Amino acid sequence: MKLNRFGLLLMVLSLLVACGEASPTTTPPTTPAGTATGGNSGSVDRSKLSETLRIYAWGEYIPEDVPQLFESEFGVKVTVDTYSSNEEMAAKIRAGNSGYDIVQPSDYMVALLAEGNYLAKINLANIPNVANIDPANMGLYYDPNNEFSVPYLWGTTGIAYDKTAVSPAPTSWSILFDPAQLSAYKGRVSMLNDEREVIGAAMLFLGKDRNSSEPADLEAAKKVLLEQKPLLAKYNSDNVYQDLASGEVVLAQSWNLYTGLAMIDNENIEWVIPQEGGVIWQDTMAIVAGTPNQYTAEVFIDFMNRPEIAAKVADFTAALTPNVKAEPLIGEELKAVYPKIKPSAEDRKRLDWLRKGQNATAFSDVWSAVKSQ
Amino acid sequence: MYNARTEQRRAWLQASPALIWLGFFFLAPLVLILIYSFQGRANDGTVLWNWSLANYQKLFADGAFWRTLWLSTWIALVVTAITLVVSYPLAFFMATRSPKRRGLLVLAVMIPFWTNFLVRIYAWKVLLGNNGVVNRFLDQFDLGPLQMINNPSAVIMALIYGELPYMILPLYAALERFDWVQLEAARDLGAGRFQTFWRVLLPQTLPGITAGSILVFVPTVGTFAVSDILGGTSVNMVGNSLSLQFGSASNWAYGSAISMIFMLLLLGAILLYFKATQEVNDGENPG
Repeated sequence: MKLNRFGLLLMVLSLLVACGEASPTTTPPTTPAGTATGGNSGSVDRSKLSETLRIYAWGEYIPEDVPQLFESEFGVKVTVDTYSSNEEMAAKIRAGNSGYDIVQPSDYMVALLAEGNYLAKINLANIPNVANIDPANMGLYYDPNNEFSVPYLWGTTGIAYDKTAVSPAPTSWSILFDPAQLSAYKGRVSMLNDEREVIGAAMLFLGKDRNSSEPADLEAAKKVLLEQKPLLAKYNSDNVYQDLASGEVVLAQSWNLYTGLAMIDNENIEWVIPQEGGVIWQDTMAIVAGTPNQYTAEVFIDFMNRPEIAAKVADFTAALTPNVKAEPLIGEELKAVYPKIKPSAEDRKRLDWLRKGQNATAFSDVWSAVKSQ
Repeated sequence: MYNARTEQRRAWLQASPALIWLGFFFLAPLVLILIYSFQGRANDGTVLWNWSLANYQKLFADGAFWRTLWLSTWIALVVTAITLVVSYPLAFFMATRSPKRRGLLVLAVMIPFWTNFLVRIYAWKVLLGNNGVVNRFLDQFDLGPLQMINNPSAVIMALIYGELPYMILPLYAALERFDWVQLEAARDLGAGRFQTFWRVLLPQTLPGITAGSILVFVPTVGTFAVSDILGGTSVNMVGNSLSLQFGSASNWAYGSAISMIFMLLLLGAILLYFKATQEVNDGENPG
């Protein structure tokens, strides 16, 4: 019961935040953050900093006190707006004049946005802390020279479930896509509200490539998704962890970071990368092309890559940090679940990236047909 | 010189701030949406300038859209009808209290507005969820759990709750203006209770009913937040389709076509409704 009440509290708190009710007023921290964090602010040319910095971030990705820490050290006011899917963010950036300086596209979206000239070239010389990042997380397919993006967090997509409600332990996507298996959990299952993740998972279930945009494959995936839909509670990418922790859903396609948060609150939550395969992803920080605040944005990205700040981010999100110096600094709660949500060498073999398709809109079309059905 | 022309010019001048505002922020975007609705979508999700009727052709052939439209209309009609039936007696009660009481009652109706609408909708989720307050209460008696959210009933219930004040207030305003002596007159002239209501009270409060119904129907038919939060996968309303097209699906042209058709149908329905209520009114009160 204790954890249920906690889940409820979380829900109420988060909805206050979600509705923009949370007051933007900040209380100035009393400690001099510059010395406390031991950063490299000495090398920053303060005369080139802007007054404000606007960040468009994934929901609950930037710890609440981080903008204040940055502001008290550099005198730059940071505002954070949030989104819950790459496509939602991209729609705003492509429309132009978004007013945002920094966005957090995932791997394939970095490639799509860079291709459309929506991202600025980053001057890595202004981001010395990039040296803290694991070389394995740098130079990936979507941005081979990290010209446009710096890793923020990485993780995987698989299945989270409550072991007291779902047995035997699922090992395959079929638990989510085979109506015969899924119907046992009708109304207590959610899928991510994300066109690429959901269609990708259906493709894996069908034995296809997770990135396939072949019309026949898309048609087959659409059919599977339409059969699945009536059995779902919802498509949700916002607060899967609350739903899992509170028992609102017992089975969910999820990111490992949400699963980690749910595990911290509810010890019955388990995580599996299905046998057919899962998705590996990396969310990044990128600078919107044409922003007058590029230098400030780079200083902010550097700030976020300080080990203690990156560890704070990992604790807050329960995601995997690419920052090798931050990993030893993460809190006890996250440390306890870290081995469960970090893919093993065995898991790694079944993971692959979502890649930008030749025809990105093909996924959108299937997705809107499924959702509006 | 004081003539009709300068008088008229002055009236235009006085109205101009509002007209300019509406022109910029209402008419211009509307024209833009109309133009967008004849364009296409580029491969990266931006608007592709290429005039055609393709969106409308796709829309008319899109069975899912018409089902969505039907569901939205049906939900909005149910919500409007139930709020009307619930609100009328309440508004009657309020209008027949002493003036001091009336003020307090109006205040009581308004108070829920002070809490953010979304917070109130999330509260329903907390109450009705699979592991929500109601289900945990039922659990004490080994009943349930009942599946109470992620279905149309949850959406209808929350919409009725949210829209009630918009129905109550215009009804109250109409009833407050009503001259109660007429009821006595009707009774004296031999009308029964029902006839008094039907032929005297109802026609004279019809403007309130019309206003309340439209105030409830229009936001309800276009809602997306309530159906998103409480409807799960089972309730897709026009608002959800629009937010999908303008959001993650990034097909502004198709979204624009949906809004044009939706707007035209809505406008037609409201004009018909106005005409119908007008005729009833004229029929009841000739001259």
